[in-house]
Amino acid sequence: MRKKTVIVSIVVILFWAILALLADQIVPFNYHQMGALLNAPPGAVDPATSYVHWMGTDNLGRDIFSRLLSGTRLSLTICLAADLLITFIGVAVGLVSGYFGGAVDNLLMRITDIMFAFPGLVFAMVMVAVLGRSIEAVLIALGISNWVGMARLVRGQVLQTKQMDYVLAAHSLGARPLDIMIHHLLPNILGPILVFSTLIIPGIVTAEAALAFLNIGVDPSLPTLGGLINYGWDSISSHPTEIAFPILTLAMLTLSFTLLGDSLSDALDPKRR
Amino acid sequence: MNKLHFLALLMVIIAGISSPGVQSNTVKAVSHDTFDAGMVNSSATNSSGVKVLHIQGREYSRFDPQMTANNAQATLEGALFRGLLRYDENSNPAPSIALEVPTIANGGISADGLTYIYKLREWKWSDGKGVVTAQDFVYAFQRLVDPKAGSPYGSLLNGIVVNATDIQNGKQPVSSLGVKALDDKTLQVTLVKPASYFNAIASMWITYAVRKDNVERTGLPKDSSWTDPAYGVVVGSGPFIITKWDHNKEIVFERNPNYSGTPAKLDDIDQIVITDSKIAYAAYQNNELDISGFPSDLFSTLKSDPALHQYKAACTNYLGMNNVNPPFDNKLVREAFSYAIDRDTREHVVDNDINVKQLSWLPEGVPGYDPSLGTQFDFNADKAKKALADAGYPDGKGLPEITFNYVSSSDGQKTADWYKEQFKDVLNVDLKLNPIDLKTYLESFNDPAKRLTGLYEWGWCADYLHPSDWMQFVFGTNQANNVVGYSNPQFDKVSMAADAELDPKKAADEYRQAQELLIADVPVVFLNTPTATKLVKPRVLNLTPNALDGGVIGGFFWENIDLAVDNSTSQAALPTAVATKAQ
Amino acid sequence: MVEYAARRMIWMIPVLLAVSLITFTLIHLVPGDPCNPDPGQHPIPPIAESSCKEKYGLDQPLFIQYTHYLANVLQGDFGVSLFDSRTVNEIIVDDFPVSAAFGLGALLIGLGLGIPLGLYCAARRNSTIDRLCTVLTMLIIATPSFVFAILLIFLFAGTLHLVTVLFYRDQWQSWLLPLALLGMRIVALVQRFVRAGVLEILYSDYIRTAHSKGLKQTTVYVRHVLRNGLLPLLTLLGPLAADLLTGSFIIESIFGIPGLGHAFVISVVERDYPLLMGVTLFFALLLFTFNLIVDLSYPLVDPRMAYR
Repeated sequence: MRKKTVIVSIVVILFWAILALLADQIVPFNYHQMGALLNAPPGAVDPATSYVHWMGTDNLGRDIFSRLLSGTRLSLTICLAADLLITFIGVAVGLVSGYFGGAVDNLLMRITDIMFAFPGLVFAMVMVAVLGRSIEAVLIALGISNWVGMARLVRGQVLQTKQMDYVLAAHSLGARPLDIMIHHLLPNILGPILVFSTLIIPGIVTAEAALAFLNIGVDPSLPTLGGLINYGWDSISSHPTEIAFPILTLAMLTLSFTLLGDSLSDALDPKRR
Repeated sequence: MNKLHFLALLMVIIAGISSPGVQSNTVKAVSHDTFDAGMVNSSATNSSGVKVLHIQGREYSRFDPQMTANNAQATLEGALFRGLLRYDENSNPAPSIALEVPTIANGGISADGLTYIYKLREWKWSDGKGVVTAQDFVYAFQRLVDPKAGSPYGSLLNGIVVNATDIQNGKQPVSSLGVKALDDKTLQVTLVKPASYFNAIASMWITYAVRKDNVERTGLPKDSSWTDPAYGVVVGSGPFIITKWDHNKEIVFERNPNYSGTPAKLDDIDQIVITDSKIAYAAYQNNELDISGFPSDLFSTLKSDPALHQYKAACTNYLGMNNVNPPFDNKLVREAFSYAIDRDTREHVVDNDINVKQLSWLPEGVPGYDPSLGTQFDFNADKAKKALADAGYPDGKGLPEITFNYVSSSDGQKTADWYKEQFKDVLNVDLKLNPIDLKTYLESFNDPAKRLTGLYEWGWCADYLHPSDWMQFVFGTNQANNVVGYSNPQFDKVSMAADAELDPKKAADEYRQAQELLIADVPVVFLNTPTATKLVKPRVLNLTPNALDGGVIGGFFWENIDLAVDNSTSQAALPTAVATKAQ
Repeated sequence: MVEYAARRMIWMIPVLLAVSLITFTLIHLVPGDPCNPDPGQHPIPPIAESSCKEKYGLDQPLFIQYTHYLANVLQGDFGVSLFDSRTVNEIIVDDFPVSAAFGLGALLIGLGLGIPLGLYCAARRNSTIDRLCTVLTMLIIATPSFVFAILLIFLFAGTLHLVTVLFYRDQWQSWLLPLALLGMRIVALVQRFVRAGVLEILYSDYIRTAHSKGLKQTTVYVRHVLRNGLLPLLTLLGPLAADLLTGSFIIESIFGIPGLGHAFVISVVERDYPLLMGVTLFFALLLFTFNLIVDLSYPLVDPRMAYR
């Protein structure tokens, strides 16, 4: 049963990843090319090229399917990069903080407090003001302002786990702190970390969409899922399909990531085998 | 005035509402059976006989007439304050607190056209304490030009009223302004040139009377808080008084019981701050709003709806470029970009056909409007290619990188994407797109040091309906409003002569000549004139739209607006016809 | 515990200072002139500009501005908003209760529905209901709240006429849609956390031991699983509560709710420095308090963790 879920999730993610990577080969349009059909419904056929816009076109006559593929490609890239960044910083800070405790913990937790209390929106605005509306700016803004949750989670888990007998045993046997952290603590808290990092994937895409909504997202000429949703929001009253496709794609992807994360956490947990 | 009130459209995200709405054939037939009070929202009903008009509003920082630079806000201030003159239904100056419009014939204007006398009528302040005096107007004018007060309209009187320029530049005290009270009921304005359009300026919101002891009362968090009723009674002179300001939520105007003009028919105007046009439209359909905007993508669907009011705003939008620096210092390049824009397609694709293509400078409503001017610069791909080649850039070769600046928003993006494809197709020019946040974009037009390089969409809206607001004031050499750096001595000479001309016929000729010179020089690429669109419930009566009202439909005549009494006494379920109409 | 709490509160001071300093510096890095309230209109004369800057102390070097600001804040004065007619203190007093009411409501909905759902789904892992829950929560998390908002508005206000579209303080029906929108997101989040936390515990040795000792399923659940499984949720709760109480900009702006989230975004757009600083510091204080409460409650839930 579990295997089936994993396989389905992986297939869905791979399907989209491959589709996105091969976007340029799959569709005869590119994301900015404008055709003669404006706001065409799904399945409309361009009489000049007899090309089927099977997701329709937007108000500039651009093929929504082509834009969706390009958008998925960029969103997946941004999301995974930001997720890795967040996870790496968060896990490192949380592990060190939870394991050593005392002054180190206090210092790191105060820094996380500062980061936490600090408005991410202002940070994103500054990044965009300095770097322009770019992928780097969004990546940095997302990464820097979101690792705190992960750090606190990891720290909480570490505080709990390090009291366990086997950790105490390893400690008394003279294992080095790094060894204990990586070999004893990390594997035991991997489940929550995985769940958390899959859980924040949709959060990251939504955050990207929110930045796009406030017009401080990535370069708006490049489609992202968030950008397409934001763009479709303008036409939702007259052409709701335009926003439906990116949302469904997003939901499908996030669902797959979550199921995958759940199954992985089961598989990685030695107790649950 | 506010160049670009359609930019208000872009502010939807934070402060703005989508702009305007009404058409000229005012009074709509009322049909009681198509409107019923909202089922769930008792505040929208009038079962108690209280007439409350609910309109979509936005948040403002203050309602201080001398400190206002935005038509929509000015129109709302017209409910609270009155000035010397006002516009009548045909946008001509008409008496308000002044007894009559001064003319040379009635002796109100001196023969040299330099001295204006306004006789005031008995006009009560809204708190019933005292009447509006000439001294109050002197105070209002002095606040306007006082550079320390920082009015965005402080410079409007420069070069018109005696000493205004020097006061603005800090070289003279405010008391030296050429606006004097001869007695309690007589105001005298002295001009430096015979500006025949001064009565139009005296009809603007910036001359609305404010009472010094109310403006400068103590206990305010800051100077500009005086129009917030949370800090004490706000004294005005208009048909309504502001009684409630629930910030970011709603603003309530109540009928002024001490109003000296025709009393208002409505009891309350309730402006509900709602920024998203989709939500406003849903609220309108749910009978929670009487007047509201709607998502622009529904325009083609709603066009035939009798509830839709559409009228032209006195504005012209253009594609701007710096006339001083290469490559746009070359008139042929500017011409090429004008020829390259397929305006009909642009209107359809980018603006949902809400705006109207226009190639002349003066828009409809401003005397001198002539739609036949400038048509030679309309879309023509061959001419575009030829002009660019003649300029030395055949097929776009050799042209430096050209930036298109736009406001970071989905509307702005749509526009930018369209231009990019269009110029690539016609001129083989690759635009570099530069999205900027709204505030930075707008500020670039105030500060020469922050000017944008490359192309941008911008525009101009009338402060008052006279060509003097459009010629030397906007395109004169080194004028503060001349954002493109256009300079033509011939144009300067003709337009300045026109501004100082007493003979209306001669002035009109000179303005026409000035407009022709301007259009021939292609200082900017003219695009369109925006229209105001609003949905209005049939129960709203006596709306009079105005090209200057900034989309606050009917707001030039608040006191005339009425609501049809709902004889079915409310609370019944919504007729499905209304609810489902535009879904 | 008292000592721990006192220590944390003393720590709060440098944290708040750092937050204020960083925010202050960053917001001044963003271009935009707070003395130009109507940009794009007629240019304001230089004298007006400089007198405005003088009035609000904006002509001073940044560091001096910051120390002035700090001195005022220590006296409880967050300054006057540059855009609004109110003081920042008044804005917070006016707007916070509204946001807090919605936040608290959403939190209660989230915990009230999310915890039982999470427990149920964990207990019946891979059942149809569990799968349905996973799909639904993902759909909720993946769909921007403005899209749900318009759907719910069309359904409940437009078609069924059960509620109003706009928000009216004195009409309880108008609180429902925003509450539901805020709440469903929290339900989804809490459900995922509880489910993951409980699953973790369900498979641990001591639960197996408890089972093998012959304890009743319910007893095991209540005594061990609940208490330990909810720990990760506790960590989430601090920031979540602070976040919720200070309001969601998108929901607030859609329904026209005059809350703190709305005020914050306006302050960013208008470069309203005092308001932005005030709201940021208020948020930091709130967050700090909630995190402290959460940290204080850890040992109460799990005696193995000591205050440190």
